Amino acid sequence: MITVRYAVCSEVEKKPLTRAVVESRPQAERLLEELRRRDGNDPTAQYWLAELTAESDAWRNLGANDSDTN
Amino acid sequence: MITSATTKSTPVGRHALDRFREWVLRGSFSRAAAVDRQTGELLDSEARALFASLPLITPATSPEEWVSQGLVRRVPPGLREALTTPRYRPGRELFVRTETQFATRGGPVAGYQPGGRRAITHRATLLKRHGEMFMVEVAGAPTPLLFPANEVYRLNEPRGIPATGGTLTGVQVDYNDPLMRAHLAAAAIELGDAIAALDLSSPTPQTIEAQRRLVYRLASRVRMAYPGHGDGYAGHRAASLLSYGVGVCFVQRTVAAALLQPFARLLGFDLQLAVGRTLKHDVPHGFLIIMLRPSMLRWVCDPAWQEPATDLRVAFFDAGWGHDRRLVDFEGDAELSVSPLDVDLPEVEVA
Repeated sequence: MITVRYAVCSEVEKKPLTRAVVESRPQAERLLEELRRRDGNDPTAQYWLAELTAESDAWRNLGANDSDTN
Repeated sequence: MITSATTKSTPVGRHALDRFREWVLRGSFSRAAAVDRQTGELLDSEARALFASLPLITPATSPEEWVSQGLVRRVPPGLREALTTPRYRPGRELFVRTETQFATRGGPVAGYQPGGRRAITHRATLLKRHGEMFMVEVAGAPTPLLFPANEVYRLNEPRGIPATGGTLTGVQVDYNDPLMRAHLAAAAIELGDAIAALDLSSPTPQTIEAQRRLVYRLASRVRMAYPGHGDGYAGHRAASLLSYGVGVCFVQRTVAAALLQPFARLLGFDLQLAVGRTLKHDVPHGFLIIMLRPSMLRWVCDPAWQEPATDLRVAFFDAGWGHDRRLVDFEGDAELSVSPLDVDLPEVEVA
């Protein structure tokens, strides 16, 4: 069952990133503001929320790649 | 469920291909390839019928079959030699896993650092062999380091889309899909002159640039949007995602691999589906690594960041210079079939 629904994204210099995936919109909105502050309120950065469709589960990789054992 | 593509080519009516070529050359392909944003199905039934009659091209399609199917004019001269030249030879830059630092110091990151965390560095150069060990020069290390050959193969052999297609990172790659046939055929037709001009007989800087340029143009055909930045198809089907589909970096790089992989044997390059992270925020990031044959020079293809082919040394340079990525691992089908003919290294005695 898909429970995670919102991606918090940011972009600087045409480099979009999914910074986190969370389960509710309020949680995503709070996180977006927190990331904006944590990044130093960079005026060139864009932030947005993306609703992840149930049809595509490809976004799961963003949270599933724990192969990083560095 | 995916229907796996067979690797055997089937004859195709030249009439259909001629008609398709006409569509491509008069600029009608893009419109004909439009898909329903919910289902990914082709909107134009006439286009669907035509696309379904195009040749089946897969990663297993030989260069000769590309020609016999009428999609390219000739096999690049020197291709066979390019593909059989030993890949593990002195001077080849490769990936190794060792004690590494990624701290930004205004210069290239990922140098050797004793006591640093074990991570993959791209800044390694193959020197010699000692039995089943490879001697490698790693940037920052005072002396060359030894690595088991099998470990080096695991990090440097191609990792890509299986010849039969399949599902990777949630993306279904189906080479039987009429739209995938059409995208591959359209790419071959539009790049026809450059492919016909490719000559790999002598690996000069001009040859390498011609090869890189072809890869760049192929990868540039992936025109996808990041979630939240587009309203196109966002489902599983690689062919339907290729033009104006929506997906995160991992999806975009898998779609790019699906398009590039069938051209690998024809144009002389290898692919690696990379799992990475950004240096600055340490979040996952997916991209492709392309190795040109026979030069073994490496490039990064990062469609989500609009970089179809960036010199790998630049692509991994440093977040402070706008090149904010590091390699963590690979995904996809592994081809760990290194034969003794692929290795041409002087043997050394190690005290």
